Amino acid sequence: MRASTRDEEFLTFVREHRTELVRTAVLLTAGDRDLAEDLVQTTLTQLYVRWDSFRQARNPGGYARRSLVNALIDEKRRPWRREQATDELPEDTVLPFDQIDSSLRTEALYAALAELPPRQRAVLVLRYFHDLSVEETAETLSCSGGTVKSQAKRALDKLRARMTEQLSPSYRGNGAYHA
Amino acid sequence: MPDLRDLMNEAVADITTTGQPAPELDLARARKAARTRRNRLAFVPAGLAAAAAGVLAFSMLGGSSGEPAAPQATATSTAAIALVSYTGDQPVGFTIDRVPDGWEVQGLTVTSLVVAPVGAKNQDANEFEGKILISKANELEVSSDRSEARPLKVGDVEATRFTYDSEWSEEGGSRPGPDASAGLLVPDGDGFLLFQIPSELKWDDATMVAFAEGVHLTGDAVPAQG
Repeated sequence: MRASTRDEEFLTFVREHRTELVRTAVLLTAGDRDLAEDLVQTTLTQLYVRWDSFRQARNPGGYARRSLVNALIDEKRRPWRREQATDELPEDTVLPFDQIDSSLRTEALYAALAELPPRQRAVLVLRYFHDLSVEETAETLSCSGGTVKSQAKRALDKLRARMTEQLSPSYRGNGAYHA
Repeated sequence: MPDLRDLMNEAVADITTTGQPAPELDLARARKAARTRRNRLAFVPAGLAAAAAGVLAFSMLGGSSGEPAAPQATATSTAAIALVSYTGDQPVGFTIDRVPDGWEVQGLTVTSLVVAPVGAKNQDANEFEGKILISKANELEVSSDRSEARPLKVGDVEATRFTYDSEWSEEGGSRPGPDASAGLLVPDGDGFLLFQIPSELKWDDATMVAFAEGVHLTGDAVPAQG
């Protein structure tokens, strides 16, 4: 492929898909926007270097998402894997869900996602944010459909428990809500 | 809890096209990476370039390429211990068809099956160093993030081959050490079998698969707690 044709196609791809890749990466990194940008840059570079293979992929979108997930897992596989520190939210920050500010809902989502192993996080992002089927998710993660289902169930259970804990009703002594 | 899809869309709704860097920046970065890769390949000795290309690309980009990962067969050492048919009594909770030559089912605890060399110095079935440990994985063990994890076909199921961490930092991180045990997580019925295989056996993937194919849960095994 001529370099200029690859460059033109690559630029078009970036214009059309970068935003979605960044959104996916932000969810995969549980809200770490700097890391998400790093992963997207790594992924785009990998796609460019293998542009011929990427162009011929049966499912280019799946190819790109798989590359992004692998970049996340490789990032987590750095020499020392750190234990995830979780801080208990002070009781006075917990509010009834339907009255909580959207930014706090997002914060609770990211905190819950951060406690999941990368692959479980990826299963939830692929199944719920991208609305992929079990089979499509399994293909992206190079695992079986059974693994996708079992991992999704475990991840949802953990996510639900953590978010419920963070968003359950709790009031200050005077019953005031926090904005 | 509300719909997860809605929560995720809400979380990233502020990320828009107008907030992205110019595509030309991504192109410049990618072209530089491609140029660096070509330059490295140019210095590989003749005859090795084709074989090395995949390895160099892998190492330069820091990991997997985004393409399907093929199982990596490790080199077979001439000192690897072969498998032989197991003719002893079957342990409760498991069935086992093969054991390493000169090894035996040393013991069965509530949660695990231990296979060790015949006459091993350490006859305590609750101690696993240098022995094969097989257990019914609990939920945490199934979902744990593993080092060097990759898919590996065992019979007609897709298992996870990984390496156990054996070195820990003071900050709480961990990583596989030079003599780390091999791990294998295999779906079996409605559960998972977790294998810990000591490096002393020097088994390659094919031997591990042959061993694991002959082990099954009977429904009586109990996952370890904690």
